[in-house]
Amino acid sequence: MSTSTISTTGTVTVLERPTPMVLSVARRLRQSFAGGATFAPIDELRVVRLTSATDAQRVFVSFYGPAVCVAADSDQDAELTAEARWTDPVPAEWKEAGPGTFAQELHSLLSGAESSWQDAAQSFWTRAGGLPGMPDSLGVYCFDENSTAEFGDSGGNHYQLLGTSGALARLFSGRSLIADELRGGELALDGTSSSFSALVGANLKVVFGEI
Amino acid sequence: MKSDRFNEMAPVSCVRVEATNHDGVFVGKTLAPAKYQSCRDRGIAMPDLVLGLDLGNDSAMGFGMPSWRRNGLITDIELRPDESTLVEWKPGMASVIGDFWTLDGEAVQADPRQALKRVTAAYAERGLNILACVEIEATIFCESIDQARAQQYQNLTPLGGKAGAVLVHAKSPDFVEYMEAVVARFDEIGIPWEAWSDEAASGQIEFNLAPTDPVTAADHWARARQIMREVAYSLGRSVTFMSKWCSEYGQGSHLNVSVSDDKGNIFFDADEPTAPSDRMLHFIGGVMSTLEASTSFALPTITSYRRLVELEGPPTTQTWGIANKSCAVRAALAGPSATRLEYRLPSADSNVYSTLAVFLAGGLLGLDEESTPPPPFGRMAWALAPGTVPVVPKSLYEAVAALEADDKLRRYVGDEFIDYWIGLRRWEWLSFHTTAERDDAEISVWESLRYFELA
Repeated sequence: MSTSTISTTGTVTVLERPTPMVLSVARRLRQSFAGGATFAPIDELRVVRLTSATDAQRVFVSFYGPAVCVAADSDQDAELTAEARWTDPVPAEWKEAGPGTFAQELHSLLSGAESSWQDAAQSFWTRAGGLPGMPDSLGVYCFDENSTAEFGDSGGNHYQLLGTSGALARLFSGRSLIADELRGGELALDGTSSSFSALVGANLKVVFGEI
Repeated sequence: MKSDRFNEMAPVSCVRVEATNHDGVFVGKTLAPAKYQSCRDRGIAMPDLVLGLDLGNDSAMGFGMPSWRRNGLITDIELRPDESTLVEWKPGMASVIGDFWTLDGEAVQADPRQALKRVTAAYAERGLNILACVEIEATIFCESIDQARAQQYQNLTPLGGKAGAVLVHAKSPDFVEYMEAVVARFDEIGIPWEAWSDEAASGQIEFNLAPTDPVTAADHWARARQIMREVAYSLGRSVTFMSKWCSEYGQGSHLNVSVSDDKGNIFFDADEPTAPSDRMLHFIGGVMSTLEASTSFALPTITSYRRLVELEGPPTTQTWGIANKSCAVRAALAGPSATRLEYRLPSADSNVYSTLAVFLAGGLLGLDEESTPPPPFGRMAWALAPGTVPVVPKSLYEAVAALEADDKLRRYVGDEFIDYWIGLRRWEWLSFHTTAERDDAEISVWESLRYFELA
């Protein structure tokens, strides 16, 4: 294998049969590249397989030059494998990801940039606030910081999310699902079921990179 | 004076009020006669979740809910019987199909039967009548439904032995017994049928129902499937409408449609009977411009897409052709009464109310705009090189994305019908990938458990 000494941003393509994990991984890679992340382009095909920690999904990420393909299936053997949550596809433990390794580069790309819960919430509302069924306004209360944020037009259909700073940041930035955070005990809700349904959909659209 | 078909029929001890949810499941309640009489004008109260649960019994989430969901408080909607469908299902039991209405007395726009009625009415406003019929395919098994459940619907034994050939009369008596019992029930209920036969895969069967108006055709489809299940159970068998239950050929639900005005079949050109009429071409033009957007209705489940195998029979391309069964839409030029279009994409697990509604919506768009279709495809429309013609979406996600990008169908069937369906299908796709034991190219047990009895 030869590796260029020049770093580049990648062009991410989703191949046939998009799955939730495929879309999530593609979105994370695109976000990383959009944020300025680079990697050393490779002049031979390298394939990495990520398996979901919670279900049967798996994703193959192929690198060739600046091209990055994300797919649910692959005819190629993966030279690296790792397990990750599909909504936040950063391998928790990846012993191959030592300094200067390809795995370490990929780990960095999959990690993406962290946001504060306030920035993530603002970005979420900007992108999702106009989706059908969304509440007219969204209130957010952060338990551990005892701080609030309000979005949208007050007085109409209002929805309130209450959570820890970590849960709110994960949720609004599309690193977790509402259901995950509810199960984890770091999120509470107050509003109608219809708004909840729309918020679930908006949350998914962020995870999939659709908005 | 309004006729009172219920009181004119022989006394019954119960009334089954029926509808079809988005997944094609026959749903409703069975009422005592007095209760039915007391509420039949307004409708029988049903929880709104009757149109909101998936086939795993979870509430579908992830989309804006229409006003009749009343903020998700699990409110009621009303199933108002259409007594033109009233029949004696069996001695002592009446059966009637209904439509969903809101508590405010408005039609539930997302209701598949209401959507089909809206589109049919739009044709009527233009002086046009539709004839439609369905080819129902299914697979019948030796095992009882209890045994099939115990086996999680795996490794079942198709009734009638191996296929080996199609249209075989020399099937074993158990196979013939089932088919004859089904058509006997069709006759009792009043469902006109034209033919039955075996089909290409082991245990696979087909019933051809007679053409009629679209809503009646869909009602017949819904009741025919109920009969096919009831007969199977009574004979100790099981039956499925899964689009593909094993590696053998899948099964479809082809729709046949013709349109007439006061002069007759508008698809037929008496001056040039071997070519599509101008209006048939317009209709096809509209259908082809909405074919991709319509795909999720024709192929509504995860399994539906497994049926799309090159050279196996189901269309894989967005093509139409004259007498070309490899295309998604076949123009059958068969004289003034039988010239029609056959929509060959729908799988056996599709909901005929919905699928027919969007197919007719596409056709009406074409008639209204005098659309020009792409040229007919005259070659075999399978195994073509990439880029030769547009292909049918390969997954539910891609099909739903095509519907989201479309702005034509919703003009005829309404925003709510489209948006609600998109929400339900995205949920179906998500549920599969995040809860199935496998999500690769093989049929999962998850699919069998979810679709075998209900789809």
